[in-house]
Amino acid sequence: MQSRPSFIFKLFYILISLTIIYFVLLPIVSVFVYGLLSGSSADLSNQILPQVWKYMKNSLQVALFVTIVSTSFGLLASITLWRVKFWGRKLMRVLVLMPLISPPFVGTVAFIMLFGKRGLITHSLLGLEISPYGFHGIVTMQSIGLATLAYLLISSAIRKTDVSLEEAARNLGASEKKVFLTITLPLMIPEITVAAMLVFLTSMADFATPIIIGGAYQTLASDLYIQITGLYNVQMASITGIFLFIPCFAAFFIQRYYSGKNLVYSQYVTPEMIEYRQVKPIIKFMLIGLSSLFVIFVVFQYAFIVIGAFTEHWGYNYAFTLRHLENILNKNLASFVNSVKLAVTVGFISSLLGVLLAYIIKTKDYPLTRQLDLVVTLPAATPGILLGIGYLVTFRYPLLGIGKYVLTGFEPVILLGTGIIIYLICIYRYIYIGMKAGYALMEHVNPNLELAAINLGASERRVFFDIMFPLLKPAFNAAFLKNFTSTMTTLGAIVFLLLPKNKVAVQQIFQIMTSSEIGAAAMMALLLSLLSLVFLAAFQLLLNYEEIFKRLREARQWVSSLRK
Amino acid sequence: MGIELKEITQKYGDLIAVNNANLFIEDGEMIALLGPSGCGKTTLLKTIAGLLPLHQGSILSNEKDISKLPPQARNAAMVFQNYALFPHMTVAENVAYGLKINKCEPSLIKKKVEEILDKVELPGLNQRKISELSGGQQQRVALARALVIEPAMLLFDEPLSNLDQNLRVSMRRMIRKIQQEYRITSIYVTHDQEEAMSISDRIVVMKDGVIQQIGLPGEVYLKPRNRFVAEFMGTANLLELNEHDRIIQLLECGKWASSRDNCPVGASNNRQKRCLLFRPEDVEVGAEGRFEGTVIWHETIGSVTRVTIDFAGNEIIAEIRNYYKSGINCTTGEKIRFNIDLAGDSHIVPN
Repeated sequence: MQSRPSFIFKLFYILISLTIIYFVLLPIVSVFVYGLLSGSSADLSNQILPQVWKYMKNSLQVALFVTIVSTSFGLLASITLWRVKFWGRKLMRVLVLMPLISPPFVGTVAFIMLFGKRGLITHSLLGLEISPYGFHGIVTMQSIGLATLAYLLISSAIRKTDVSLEEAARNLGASEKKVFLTITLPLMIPEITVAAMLVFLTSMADFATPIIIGGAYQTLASDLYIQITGLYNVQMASITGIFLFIPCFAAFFIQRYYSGKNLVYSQYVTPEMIEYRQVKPIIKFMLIGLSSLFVIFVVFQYAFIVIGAFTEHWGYNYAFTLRHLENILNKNLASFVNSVKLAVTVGFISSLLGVLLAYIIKTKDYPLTRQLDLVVTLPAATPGILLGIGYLVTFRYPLLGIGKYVLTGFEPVILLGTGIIIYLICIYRYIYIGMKAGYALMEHVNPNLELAAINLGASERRVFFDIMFPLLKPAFNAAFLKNFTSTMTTLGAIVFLLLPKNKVAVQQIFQIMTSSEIGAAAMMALLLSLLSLVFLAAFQLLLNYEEIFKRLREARQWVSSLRK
Repeated sequence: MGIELKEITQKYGDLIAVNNANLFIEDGEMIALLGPSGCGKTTLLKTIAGLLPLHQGSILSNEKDISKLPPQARNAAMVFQNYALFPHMTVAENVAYGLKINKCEPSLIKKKVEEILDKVELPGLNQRKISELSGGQQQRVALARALVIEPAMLLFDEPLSNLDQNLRVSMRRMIRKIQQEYRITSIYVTHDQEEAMSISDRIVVMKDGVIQQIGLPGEVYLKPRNRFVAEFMGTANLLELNEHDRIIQLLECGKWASSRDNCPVGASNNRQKRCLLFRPEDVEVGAEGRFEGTVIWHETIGSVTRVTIDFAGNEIIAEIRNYYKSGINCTTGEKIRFNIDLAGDSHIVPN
């Protein structure tokens, strides 16, 4: 009775392990194999390396700068919005999260509209002919976009700080400044380093911003894109990819190792809201001022996207028009449908697999779980565009990729050029999200629950479906929402794998952007943001329908009690 | 250092957490703030520490108003319920924190930290991480961290509530011993009546933000001012008094008659409802007892056996010492005879 369900879990574990090796590890290894083995070493040292080294320096320059600026802004905004009391704080907390649902180049579109060659401020107001393109443009755009990411993580830390620790420090005579520097800040270090690491990785992986506003200043990621799309030099791209991979991988694992060693956590979480009561007015003013500036930037981006979307020809003709909207509805509607299809499918399958995997790794005593965990997490450290190259060089060979190494008389199955490959890459790239959500939830699930169910006579399968599955649902929901939004706005991983028949909206925006059609790009970005928002709201309703029904019932009871 | 609380009222929004509290604490005295959860005792403590802004009233320390002082300047070290030890520091760093903040010399810090860790019986654990300590050890680090800055007053916020019973007993003895040795004015918040009685010089009983009674442990136990205090301080037998009640008549022909001063009949001229209080140890079970009841339940807890007796529709709890040797039969449903010893002090409390 017990052995059959156990077998099902084992089978699932073996299958998922194999496919994860196949769709995550193999492509990354392939990039290395392809880059290092398929050319002469003389070429490598004489021509390729100096060029790659130049882009490497650019990438690191941008990424380090952006990491410092974004993390500082994230920290600053977290303190201001959660620890300082002022009017409009709650509204700002919502506004600051807006960039999360938008495609990555919304800011860039707005930036060009304001500061571009025909920009509203630089050209029309100041009459300048300066070019915003280059290092400053890239850094500005990435900093604003990624500060939101940093804020999201750091604010979660400041919200769960154990207030009694701060009270204890105050009680022992520490001034407010000392309390912050010796207690609050050190306790947030894990989240701050995670935020910095993620900002660094995202900046390294971002190829779209340099392509659009980098001008002559290109980075590893954008060069990689040019190598593939412009020159179709796959070997050169692979070598660039290796160089892109190394700092990202290092940053990811150094952070992981460091925080694993120095993990400190507060045992007691005090959810009560606290404010700094004794902040000097000047500091308070500065905090609010800087955070407001940041929020204004974010809001302005969207304001100008909306205006640009309905403007005839930005920089030349500011007349109102519905032309862009009509164009998109006529020509590009399919890409939106494809985006949604992809995001929903990936969100569902990837999150489900991730949560299931987390359950199996944490509760079953199967071999090699640690190694599997590592491979599943690898995409977190790998820039999407690099994984894309990996798929490109791996799956253009028959038998799902390994045909290059195996002689075969079978009919060749070549994944590259099929519609399914973009689904596969997104699913396997995001499994770790569901897995992490599953882990996080399992920490809070009483381990005796399972034993209690077994003790009452439930089979292993019943334990899963009756006990663990309902308990793990919140992890699935969280992962689903995250994966849905990520997939809606992802570009790097799939940009080389898309076919004309399954083009997605983000890619369309990117293409329109590179050909400088501001109005159309703004309209598409606006529509995609709205679409994401509508779907997120719908999923929230769907996933929390029980809660909502309960609320409705309570409301109805309340109304009827009023009538009596 | 003597501390005086004058007409303190604290509110959370519309909710009154502390209502017009007045209290004087002598220099070197240990006061227990006792009450159920939500009675305002922790709010009052945090107000004294300056961790909550004062809504109304004033706090005097040696006749000096300290109500406006920030928590840093009050020199009132607190021991928190969850210990609030800094998880990113070692034991020694935690204890040294207050000294470092006050710019103490490093060599002196080292010496003081070691001395105080010896005092709380934690020698040799300086370099341990907080997460590597047991609950009792964490509690002692928290105590050491508060003591080492030589505070003018010590504030305890239910410090032992996360420990097991045996540890609680030994820890409260340590706290009391150290407090008496250093003669530090202390306030000790607890919801445990036994802890409050054993550790403090005086007890302040609180309910719904209002101080119910202030007194010596014996006073509060033997002469509770009202029914709430009576029931909160240990097990109480409370019989509602009523002129026409059969119980009084029963009692009047018993030992009650011997202490005429406390005659409930005379006292009940007052309209307010009153209760007759006696403790389980006031009930003497024995064959020669004047009253008869029926055993509802009995449980033996080592040295004593508690018997619940149905007495004319009222439940009375009695204590029997040495039950196994006494020859008394406490089987449920059996009749049992007993006396009530009311020879002591006033036993009548407002309902």
